[in-house]
Amino acid sequence: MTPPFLLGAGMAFWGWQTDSLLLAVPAALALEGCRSLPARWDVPRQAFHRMADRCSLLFAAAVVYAYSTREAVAAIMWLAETLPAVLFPMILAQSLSTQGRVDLGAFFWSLRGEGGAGYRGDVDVSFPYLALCALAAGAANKPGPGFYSGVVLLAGYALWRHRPAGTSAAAWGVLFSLAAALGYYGHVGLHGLQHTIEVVATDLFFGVIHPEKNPSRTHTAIGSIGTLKQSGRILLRVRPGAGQPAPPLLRNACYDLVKGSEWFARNTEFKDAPRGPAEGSWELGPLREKRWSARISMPLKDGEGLLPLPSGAFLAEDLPAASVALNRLGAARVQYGPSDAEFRVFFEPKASVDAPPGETDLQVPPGQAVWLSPLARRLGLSRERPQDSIRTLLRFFHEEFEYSTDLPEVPKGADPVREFVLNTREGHCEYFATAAVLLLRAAGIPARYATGFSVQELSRLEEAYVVRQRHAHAWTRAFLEGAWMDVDATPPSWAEHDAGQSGFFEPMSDWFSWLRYRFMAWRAGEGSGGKLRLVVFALAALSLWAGWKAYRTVRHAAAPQAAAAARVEARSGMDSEFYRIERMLALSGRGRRPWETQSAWLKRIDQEGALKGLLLLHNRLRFDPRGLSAAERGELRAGVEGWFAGGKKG
Amino acid sequence: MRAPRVEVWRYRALRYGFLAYDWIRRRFTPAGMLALGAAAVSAGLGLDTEQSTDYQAFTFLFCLLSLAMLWRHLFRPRLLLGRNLPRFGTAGEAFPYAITARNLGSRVERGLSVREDADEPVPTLAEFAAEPGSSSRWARLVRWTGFDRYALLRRRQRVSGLREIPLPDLPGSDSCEVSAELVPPRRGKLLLRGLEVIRPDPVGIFKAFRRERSGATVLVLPKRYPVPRLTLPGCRRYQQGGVALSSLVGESQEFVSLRDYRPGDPIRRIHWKTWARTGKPVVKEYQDEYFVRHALALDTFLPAGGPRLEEAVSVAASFACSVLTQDSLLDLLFVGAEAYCFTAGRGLGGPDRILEVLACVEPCRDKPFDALAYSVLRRRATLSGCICVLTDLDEPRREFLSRMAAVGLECRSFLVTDGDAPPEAASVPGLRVLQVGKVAEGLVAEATRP
Repeated sequence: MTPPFLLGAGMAFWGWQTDSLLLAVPAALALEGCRSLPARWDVPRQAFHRMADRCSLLFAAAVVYAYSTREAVAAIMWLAETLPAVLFPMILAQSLSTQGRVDLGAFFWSLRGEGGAGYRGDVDVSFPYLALCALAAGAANKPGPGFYSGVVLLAGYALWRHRPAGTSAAAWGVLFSLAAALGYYGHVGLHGLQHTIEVVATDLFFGVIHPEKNPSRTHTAIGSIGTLKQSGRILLRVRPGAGQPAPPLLRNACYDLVKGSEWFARNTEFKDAPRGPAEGSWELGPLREKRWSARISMPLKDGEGLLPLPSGAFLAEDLPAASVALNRLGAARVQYGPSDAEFRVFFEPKASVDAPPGETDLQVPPGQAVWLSPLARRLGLSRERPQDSIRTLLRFFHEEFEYSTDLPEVPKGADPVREFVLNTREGHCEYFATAAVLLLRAAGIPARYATGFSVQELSRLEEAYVVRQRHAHAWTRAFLEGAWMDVDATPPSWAEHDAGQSGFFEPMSDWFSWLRYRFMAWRAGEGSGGKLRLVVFALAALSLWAGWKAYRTVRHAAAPQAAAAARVEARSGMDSEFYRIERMLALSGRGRRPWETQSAWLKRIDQEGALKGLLLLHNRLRFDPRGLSAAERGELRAGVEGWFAGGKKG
Repeated sequence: MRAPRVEVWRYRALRYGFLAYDWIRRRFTPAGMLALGAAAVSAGLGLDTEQSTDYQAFTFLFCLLSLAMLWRHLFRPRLLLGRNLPRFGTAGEAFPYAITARNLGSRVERGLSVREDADEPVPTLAEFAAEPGSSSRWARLVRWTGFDRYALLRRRQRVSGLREIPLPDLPGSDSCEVSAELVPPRRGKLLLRGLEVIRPDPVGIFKAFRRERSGATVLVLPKRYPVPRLTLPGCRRYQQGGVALSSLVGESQEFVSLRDYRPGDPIRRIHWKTWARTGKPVVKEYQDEYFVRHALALDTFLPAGGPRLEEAVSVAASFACSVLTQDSLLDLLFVGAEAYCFTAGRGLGGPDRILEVLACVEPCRDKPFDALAYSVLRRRATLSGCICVLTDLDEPRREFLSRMAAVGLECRSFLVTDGDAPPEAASVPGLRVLQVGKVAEGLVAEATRP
């Protein structure tokens, strides 16, 4: 057992750190009060098992609740924080029990019953519970020196009271103080170290592991060989405003510099977007009249990511996040947002807010200028008005090129874009977008490379546009008449081509995806409020509880019946024919009374003693360990038959 | 046969997992184990120092554990340890002994405890692969991990009763004696490697050790069951060569008279002095010996040791102790490196000698069962009856039993099996099947057999 006041102090410490003193103080008083209580209860093993089961059930309900209301990490922290409350019945039962320990079967199902692991024992859970209180207090993440001091004091008191015999107090003091001091400096250092690691890891993450998520750099599949296989997983859902068409393209990021098969964006520091007039709204550009809108729902991993936005987006609403930041090329990054975001975006397609073109937006790598400029001249791009040039360019790509995800082999050392434009004329959106950017630049029109999604599939199930992973797209942004416009040089047939890649199970996975989406929407409290959700959760937990109890009751009720049946079977001589006589006489009104033995009954009704011999054989069959021999058994059978035959005759 | 790759990985994971577990259990006090567990949990919860303050608990516990582990280097007791061991122990039964400690230094030694320096058993891969495991609910649930089988083997092989025995405060040059107890898991030689003297660090979380090499051996006799008094035939058989030859020990025969030499008499019986005196060959004549002689045949023909062999040896040991050997002889027959016959009774040594022999019986892998059959049948003329403890019931064994019946040798045979009785057992008259784990019940049933 823990020394006096230790467990209570641990409980109070937990309450202080988690701001639940109202709960913790009575609990601490109850635990300490048990010490002075003269009475103790004999708690059987099974009672501990049942209590542990209920605590587990409560914990399971808490897990479901935590994961459906919080992010994964926050859910774990919340669960850790709540655990002392969930397990409080166990420690209270131990404190009030005569044995002062908990049977191990409470924690290990395998150790219950007779067929267990062959290990029996019990354990004092007070010290583990104290450790749990301390760690749960840490999960509350209360700043200040309170947590460290509390942990050191609790550990010090516990260790001092249980120091080994023959230990000098000085040695104890030196060792413990040294550990406390080193621990203090250690945790300050550890906290600093994490900051350093975070910075390095972020660079590493964006630079090496997931460059595609880096808004300042993208890697294209240009030059690779093989077949692009893309999944049909639904990433976004788009609901355009009433009576409006859906925005055809949703842009994630934009790039202005090409090197080999990689696009880069230069000078792309993110700057926080100003908050809009309403709660959760963000100004992405100068506010205009709200004519075009779309509601977009998307998952945000760890609450962070780039927003897919239509061209000319100027306002985002219903987006609860710590910050939304923009770069000069129009990429919008969310931080500390919800895991499943659903926001409304307002846009003006012909009024882009991206930074005006600069020198880089006209740069063509010298190696490519050699063949691009003659081609641009031959197409007459530079001679025409910009709008006509775009039309000519689109006609050129749509009529003379083919869309293909089978990436052709490029001769060693050759430029894949040159091969694509001059020779193969087959490729996917990245080829088209890159070639179009370079051709426009060669013709003197500023252009950028954009990545994002194409909105093309209307789902009947969801009554919304769904954007799948295979709808990821790349296109060109051209600066025309003072604004940036989307120019998609990829032949329109690419949508049908990619739709052909849908798998056999896609409808089923769509359905599950939709269910998940509906659940998430409900969880996010769409129009119902948090209280209703709490009630639903409480009801679900209660019904689980009731189900469990019902199951246990049925199982318990079934078990004795089965045991009784087994007992009846096991009793020997129950097949004795003498019972037929008993039943027969009972039917004729001369039955045995409940308090009568069989011999007393026969003495009463059978004056002649005709049945005496049969009763003797019957009793031997029932109770003699040696039983009856075959001949005697036959005699009993024949005797009963004879009695019946005689009775009939009589 | 080589174990499958999955089995090998499973075995390795369990082996290293248990080694780490044993190390922790041996080195840390309960408070230390709690601190270690709390450090691990706080490391997990405090992984992100922005999300929780548990990393502060982790650094404190880490420093505390590290310092306590370093403190052990300051532990230098000057102690002389020894033990007073009995000669024999019995498998599965505790045997008490005494541990003596003498403080060779001048300082008072406080808070020390002693413990036998014995590692936890590490089952071999072959044992692990061959172990069928138990059929309990729990075992079925974790079968895929192999955990139940490994734990079962460890439990079977473990020397129980190894615990830390606290020593009283020992003033300089003083000595003390504490009592200890061991439960050997199996028969054979129990090697006690040495003793450890232990003292935890000042905060009481990590134990410092000093090992004292004081090796000793205890012969552990097989486990025995209460067995019924067997009514073996008591007819006396002619023992050629008398008591001495019947037991192959000594030359002290009962001299009766001298008579004339008859062709065929052994030369060693010629009485040379009388021949010299009378001029014709004369031989010494001895008293003919007739007494009861039983054989206890133990079938050791198994590919590997295991519960079946152990139970068979236990059954043999139980009978060796119960058959009265004051007026009769008992031959223990089994085959190891060669066919052995050990005789007890009529002053040649009691059942304890047979138990010592049985303690060291090993499985015979390189010879057929016929070696034992030949060894028993060769002695049939001198035997009054035989107790056979078999570990299988194949064709050679059945033939052996039928030949025993054919030569008129009364035989009580027992078959030790892992599971249910084989179907052939029904065709062998008088055979009692004993299931591993239920041998005691089987032997009691034998007592009530008409």
